[in-house]
Amino acid sequence: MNPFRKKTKQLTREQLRRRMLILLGLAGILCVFALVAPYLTPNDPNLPNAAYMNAAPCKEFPLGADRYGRCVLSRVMIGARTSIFSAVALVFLTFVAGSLLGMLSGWYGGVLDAVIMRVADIFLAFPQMVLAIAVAGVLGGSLLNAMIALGIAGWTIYARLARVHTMALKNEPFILAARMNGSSGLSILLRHILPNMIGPLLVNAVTQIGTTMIGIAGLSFLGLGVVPPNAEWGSMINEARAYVQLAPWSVFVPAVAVIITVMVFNYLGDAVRDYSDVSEAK
Amino acid sequence: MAEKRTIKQVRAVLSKAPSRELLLQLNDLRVSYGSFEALHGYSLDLAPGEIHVIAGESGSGKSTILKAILGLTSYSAEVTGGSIRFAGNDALAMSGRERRALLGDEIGLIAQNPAASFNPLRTFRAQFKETLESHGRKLDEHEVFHVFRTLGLPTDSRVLDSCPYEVSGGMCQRVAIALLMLLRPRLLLCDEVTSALDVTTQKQVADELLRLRDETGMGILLVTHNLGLASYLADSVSILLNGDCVDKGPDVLTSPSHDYTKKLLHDVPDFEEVLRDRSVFPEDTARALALTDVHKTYRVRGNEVQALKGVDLTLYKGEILGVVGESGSGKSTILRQACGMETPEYGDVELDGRFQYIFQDAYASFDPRMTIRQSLYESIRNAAQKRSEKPLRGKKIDAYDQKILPILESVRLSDDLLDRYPGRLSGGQCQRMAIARALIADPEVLLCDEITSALDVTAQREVVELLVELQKDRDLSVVFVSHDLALVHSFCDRILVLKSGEVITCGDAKKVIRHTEEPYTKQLLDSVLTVR
Amino acid sequence: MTKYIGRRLLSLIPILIGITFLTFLLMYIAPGDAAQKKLTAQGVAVTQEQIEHTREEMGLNDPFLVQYGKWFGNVLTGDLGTSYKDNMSVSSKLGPAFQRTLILACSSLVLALLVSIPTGIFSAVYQGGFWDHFFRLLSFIGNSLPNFLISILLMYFLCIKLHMFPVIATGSVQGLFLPTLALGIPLASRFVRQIRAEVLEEIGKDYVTGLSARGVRSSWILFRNVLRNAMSAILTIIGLSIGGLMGGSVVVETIFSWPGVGKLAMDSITARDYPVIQGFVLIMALVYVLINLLTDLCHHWLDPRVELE
Repeated sequence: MNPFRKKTKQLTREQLRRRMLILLGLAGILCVFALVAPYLTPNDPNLPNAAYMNAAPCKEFPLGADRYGRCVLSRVMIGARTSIFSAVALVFLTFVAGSLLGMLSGWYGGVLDAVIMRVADIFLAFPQMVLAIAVAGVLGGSLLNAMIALGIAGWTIYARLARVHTMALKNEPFILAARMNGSSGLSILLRHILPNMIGPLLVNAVTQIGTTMIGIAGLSFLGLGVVPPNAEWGSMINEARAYVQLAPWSVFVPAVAVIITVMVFNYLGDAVRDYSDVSEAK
Repeated sequence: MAEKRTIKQVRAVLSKAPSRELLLQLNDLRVSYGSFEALHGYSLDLAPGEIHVIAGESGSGKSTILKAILGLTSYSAEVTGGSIRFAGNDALAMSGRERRALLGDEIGLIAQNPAASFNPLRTFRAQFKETLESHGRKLDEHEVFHVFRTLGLPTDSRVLDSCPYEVSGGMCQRVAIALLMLLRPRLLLCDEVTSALDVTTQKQVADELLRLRDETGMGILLVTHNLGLASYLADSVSILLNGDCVDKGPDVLTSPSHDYTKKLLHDVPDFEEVLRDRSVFPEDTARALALTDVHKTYRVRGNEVQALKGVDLTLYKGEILGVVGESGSGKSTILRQACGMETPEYGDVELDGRFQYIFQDAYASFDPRMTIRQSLYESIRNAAQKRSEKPLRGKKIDAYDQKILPILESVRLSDDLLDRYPGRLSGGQCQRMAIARALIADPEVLLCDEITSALDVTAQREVVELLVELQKDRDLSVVFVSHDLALVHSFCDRILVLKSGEVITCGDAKKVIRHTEEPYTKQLLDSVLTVR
Repeated sequence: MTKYIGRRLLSLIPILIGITFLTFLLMYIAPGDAAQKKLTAQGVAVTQEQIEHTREEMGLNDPFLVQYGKWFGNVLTGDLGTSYKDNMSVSSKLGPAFQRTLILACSSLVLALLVSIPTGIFSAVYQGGFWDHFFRLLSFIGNSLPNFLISILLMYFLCIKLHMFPVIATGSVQGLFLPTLALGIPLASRFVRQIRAEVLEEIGKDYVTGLSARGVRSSWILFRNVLRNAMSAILTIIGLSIGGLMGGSVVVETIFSWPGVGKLAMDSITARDYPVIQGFVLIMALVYVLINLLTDLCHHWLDPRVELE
């Protein structure tokens, strides 16, 4: 009847679930790899070697060396730890803080709600990268500063979402029933509201991991995040870009690493969202 | 209000119609969703000018029939047997495009959801123009206003120039009918068109459908669960049960042959049957609930809406009070003030005794992520805390189970439902479980907010009979809010009629219904469609 | 409608105050002594006396709120301070740079919209088809590439290897091309996904079935109804993306040396020219707030059912 709804094959819930789990596994492998990477590097990632500056891939340096003669492969491997875990950690922190604030804001309303939302609005008034650049630019470049810079506005997404969901749930009959039955506010929040609203928020958080990774890499690229000689993919690309003609591997290996990792996490985010959409609709 | 013409009379009008053949022919139609067969061989012959109603409860397969005629588009739905012929043409053999070409011109559809007929953001005028021009016609204001006049709609540009989101659902539905009158399809399919409407609007729409048929000679196939509507409109009726047609013909409602039809007819509330002895309470009886001159205003979209304008209400102890009104009359608002969920700006509310509130949407009144058992435990814990006892923790607590079992018995539910999630219960079971949960707190007053409105006729009957029994056993005081006059008449002691936040009348059930002079109540009574 | 505008403007005031406060706070907490920084930035050897003198001059010994008040007052008159580096007024540096960023932003936006709107709509209408999958794959890849990476790749392949474009974009039209691509590609990728989702949702609504059941032509249903209704949401998406555009321009401008406000900000960070950084943040925030307001107003105008939160 609907002329645009063709009889397309929709993936079943089972298939979507499997896809999500496969990707979760892939992401997990990446994380584990990042963890153990420092023990698997072929060379010392921080050791410069004057004889091999900008060396092409060879036996000693499987993926070549950068301008200081450091092993590109080793640096990319330990850079994985920084890139992946800082992104995951940041998303986790902002997720917890934002969800909590949003839930309280939506439940209690009133002045608390007004204040939290105004603060969120103010932070949201700055374009995220602009704020990040300013904060990192003023406080100096370091991983912690970059995370602060991205985090001070990052919590607002979850806060907004959590607030909207809490406010919608607040008027649902089962919450009203619990209130009239005598359940305390805190117990309703923890036992009823939290489990029922956490789903969409988690989905959002997972989809944000890829974006956060790009953000941290971008800031490091500008010199506002992880600063050399620490290994991080973004800063590695920046360091090497002047030598891209001499030693293209020093730019492209970390570039490929970024692309692959971000793609895995983005695809994971998509899979999680598709699966949860289907579960909700059921 | 036009008297329903017989088929013969209508056909006489149509004798000049070119095609005397059957409008619609369904032959042993079977529809499956994947491996599940939803419709097991349905047959029907529909002639021009005939109104056929397909009645059944939810899940019986009645909507599936309409979808099959129009062309199924969900992935797994398939016609697995039988044929559909429209005016002699094989509908199943047509391509999607050919079938769509028929739509509007030859086959019309009115959906249940009034919002489904129109784009909410464009004016009716623009949409009328668009539809007419799609059929090669022009928008002629005179024609439109003529049709509006026939249907009792305002004949100035007020309606035409407004957007659907600005008008009520009932108005939308009627404008949809007006447009169909302009298009004059030969066959009209109606999917539960009156379910979302008020009693008075329902009757208006039913009359308009009759007029549509009388003036244009179109055949109408209407799907509904409302047997009163079926009786009012239909020339013949099919009764569906779980995909099977158990009864079909012009006399199904007056002399049913199948047991299921008999049961359905028995369960439909009418004004003849009374489920319990009504009591009369003297003025000085103790009151369980008293509202005095209650005013309540809400802010909606920046406007102030007065929901209650000085309402007085009394509930005597041991009484069942029925509160009736159309949507927007304020009946649910009264309950919310009564239990303390909200406070009125003005007026007194006195509630004497432990109370429990039962919601219209039983499924929504349980946490979807907790099993029934866990939800019931929560109620027991709350009750324990009120008595300053220590609440017990755990997934399965024997002491609590002991408390639950007798209550489950009194609501006639088995304990294997306890470990299910709310979504896995039927509508009737879920509502009875909600009543069970209410009983845990050992209440003296029950506030029932349209608790049967979302239920099938049979489930409704079960819940009401249960309520009557519980009230007698526990001497409860009950406020029963509903829009169904016949239902309320069958078991309430007194009835209060509400309109736009004001009490129109209140008194003994029999007096209010049978011997009323009050015009609004009379209007409500006239609009009720019962099975004749 | 005017009531809505009025309410929105009123709710802006605390936000504007908050923005200015935060921006000022940012500079205040910057490590190091402002007077010292100023003098060092000018390349002057500093003595304690000079620092003290400059501190008095700059009013740094006043309490925090007084400093904030003075600065706020200046801002209202358009005076954003003076650059540490070359003593020019910040506004005179920001002004022309902002214009050039605006040109870049507009051209990227236009490019992205030209590509993504037809693609997104096409993808939604022919959902599940080959092209839908293809475009989704493309947009997924585009979404996963950080814009600094795209810039470098573009520069490597098109400037260095193929010599098609100048490495340093001097503000000329030729120089505009690559930065526009670098900004436009990720933007278009994001738009395609969101537009597709928006149109899909609109297509799935009940009234589409109703219109079709009345025999309205498919093309009319699509263009006059579905797209018209989806437009307000699409506009919101576009408005919201402007923030990302402004941030992304910093990276792209730096790599291609496009003399816009982003490059100015980065140079100022390197030179520790804090007044310029401060002015940059403030202007960007104000522009962003203004655009959000306009987006909200458009949304409300197109879909009056939308309510002020």
